[in-house]
Amino acid sequence: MNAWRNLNGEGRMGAVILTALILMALLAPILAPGDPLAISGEPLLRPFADAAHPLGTDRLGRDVLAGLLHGTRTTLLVAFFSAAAALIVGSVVGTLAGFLGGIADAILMRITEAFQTVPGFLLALAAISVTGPSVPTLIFAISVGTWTQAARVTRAEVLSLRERDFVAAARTLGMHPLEIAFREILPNAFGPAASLAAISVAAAILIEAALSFLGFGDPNRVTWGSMIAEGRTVLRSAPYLSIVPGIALVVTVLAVHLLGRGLSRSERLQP
Amino acid sequence: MSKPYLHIAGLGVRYGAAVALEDISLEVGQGERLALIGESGSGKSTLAMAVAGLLPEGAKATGSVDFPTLGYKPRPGKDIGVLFQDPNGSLDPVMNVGDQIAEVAMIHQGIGWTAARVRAAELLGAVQIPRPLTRLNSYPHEFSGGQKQRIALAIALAGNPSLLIADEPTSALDTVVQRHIVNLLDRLVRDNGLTLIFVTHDIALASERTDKIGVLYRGRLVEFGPAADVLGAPRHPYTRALVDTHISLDTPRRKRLAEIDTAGLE
Amino acid sequence: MSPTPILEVKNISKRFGDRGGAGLRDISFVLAPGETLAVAGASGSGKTTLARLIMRLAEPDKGSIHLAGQDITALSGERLRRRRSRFQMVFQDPLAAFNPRATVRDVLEDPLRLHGLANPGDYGATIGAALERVGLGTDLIDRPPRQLSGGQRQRVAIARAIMTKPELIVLDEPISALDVSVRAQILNLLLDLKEQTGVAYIFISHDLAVVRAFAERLIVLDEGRIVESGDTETVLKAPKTETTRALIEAVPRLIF
Repeated sequence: MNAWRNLNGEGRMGAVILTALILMALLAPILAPGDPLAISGEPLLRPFADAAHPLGTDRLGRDVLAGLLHGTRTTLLVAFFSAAAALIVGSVVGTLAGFLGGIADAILMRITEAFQTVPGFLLALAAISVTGPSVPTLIFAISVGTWTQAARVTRAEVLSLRERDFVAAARTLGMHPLEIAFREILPNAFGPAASLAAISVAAAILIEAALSFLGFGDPNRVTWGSMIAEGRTVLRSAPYLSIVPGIALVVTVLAVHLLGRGLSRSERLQP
Repeated sequence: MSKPYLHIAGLGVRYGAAVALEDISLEVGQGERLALIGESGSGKSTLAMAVAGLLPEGAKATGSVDFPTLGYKPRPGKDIGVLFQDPNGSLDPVMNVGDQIAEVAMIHQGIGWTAARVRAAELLGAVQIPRPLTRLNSYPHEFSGGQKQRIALAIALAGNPSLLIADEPTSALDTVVQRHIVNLLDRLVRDNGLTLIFVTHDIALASERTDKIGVLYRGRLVEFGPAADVLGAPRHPYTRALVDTHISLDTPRRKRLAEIDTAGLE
Repeated sequence: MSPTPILEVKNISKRFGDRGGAGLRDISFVLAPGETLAVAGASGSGKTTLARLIMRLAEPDKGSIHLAGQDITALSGERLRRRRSRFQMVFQDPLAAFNPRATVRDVLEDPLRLHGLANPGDYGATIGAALERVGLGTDLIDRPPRQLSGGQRQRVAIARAIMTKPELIVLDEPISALDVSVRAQILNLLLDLKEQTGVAYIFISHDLAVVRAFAERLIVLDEGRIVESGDTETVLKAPKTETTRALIEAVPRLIF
């Protein structure tokens, strides 16, 4: 409740949209029962033409609304888990590099830079073509391309924190270096990395959509990316097939950004 | 009777519901040196900032702060120079100190860049930075803590102010550096006929260097008068406790030190 | 001199202090159990570097430091961490010395947990007793230190330092960040604890008036060297060096 009160208008709007999306994802099996990949009516029905298919049907007669609802599940699942994985891996690597210093720092940061020189999307593409498409490998592939930013931000924060007196105090108490790094320093260094979370989630959503668009998504699940790809072939005659999931994508990324901005602003307002 | 330099009547400052200052009235003459003493949270810095016209946004002030001899509202930087506790906070780390001093001189004295740089070198010399001409192009990080505070003092003086407000200028420095800065401050104030408001928690430092002392306690001015009167015959228990418990080099050594019973005040 | 000194510093040198601090040159001194030794000097004299070396927060380039007869400069890893319960430190700015996310309970639980000083079930009672010993009520146990006054914070820091029953506490300017009115209270608390436990103190300070009130012995540092040492009263009565005279001269005097 306190968090809500501290949020500004932007943040609240993002929170409301995201909550709605999560509800959509959770309720998808109730709102659109059955397999969204199953043929449910005539092909290429236009939106708002048939009450049974409010958003119409695609080339094969699959319901667009059902696809959209079930696609929310895949999109949010992949996005949140890959952003979380990237954040956790990145902050652990950043903390170790910043805290240990010396050779360990040099090695970890060279590895990070090596990952950074290749665009995240290419890394994800490479990873997915090795492992094959499924939700867990998608999560892995996306986080491989996005963890470096969190690592760099955390390292910078750790470098300044480790000189502070409370770290010296922990050492004089005989605390183990690993406990100092992960119990004393990391929680205090996490703030800046966490404000990256919004960007990470948004990036993950877009990478996931792009991978699905290219046909590297899980073939047994509907995703917004695969829906857009599906609609591409009939883009001139039935543009709504690409536009509807496209709008869903834009709204989701926007909501994540709004919430992220709102959260980082309310964090800064804390004394 | 001649007009005082600074006349404060019924000044109150509040931040939202929190009262920082209540019903402050005092007068300071031209060229006088006033010390404001109190603990953290007593309102001594708030009072100094109210005089400087530098109260933070959200502060609500009532009552009046007048400068009768000036006859106009003084501008901070020009008529009032301010020296803060932490010079790192008031110096720009990416601008050389010569430009930082010259900038103030240019803005407030309407002189050109060359003349302002010459003035900056003069001021650096006045605050006893060795080889001032060559140090004009140095950056703040190249100076020690005490030197940075001297440079901050040079900036405070660059607009040729008639009032200098020093808000705990030596609290972050060791006693030896403090002694040098205070001596310097004292000389510059006397030489230029400045009025000084010196905010400190150190009653001994105040007694050495100022003509008048004002003691603040929980937002009220509980004592105000010539330094010798206030310290010689304190009227408020807090002032008396400060004098009685002061640790000096002549305090007879005992098993325990005299304490201020903060609960017993009020 | 008593047979085993609690602390013996032998010829330590350090070229540059870490954190850009001053270096030290050939420092040697001895501290008896229960004694208070003040280390005085201006900024840049190396007194903070000395404190960090004694606390094993930094390594000396040369020389050794012995705690109760054991060379702690030769210890590392787990053996050093075990040993740390016997020498503790109180920092200048108490707020900076606590994890910003910790409560008073968290702060005081660390020494208990790290050195197995109490059963987890007894932490609350042990912490409560420690708070009472430093003159604080147990009601602030769940408050974060930033909500406490400066004096209360430093009391919590002292409670943390005495938790492991150390034989030596390094006090790095423990009162200079505090309000004048609470300084004497903190010094008295430290004097009381010394009387009760026989702990020895290294008291780092630049204020000789406070040094004189608190410490029986004094060493004066200048540019990393000991320039004067001896009984506090004797050194202050007849300073032999310019450094000491400047430090004495710098103490503000109450004039009226």
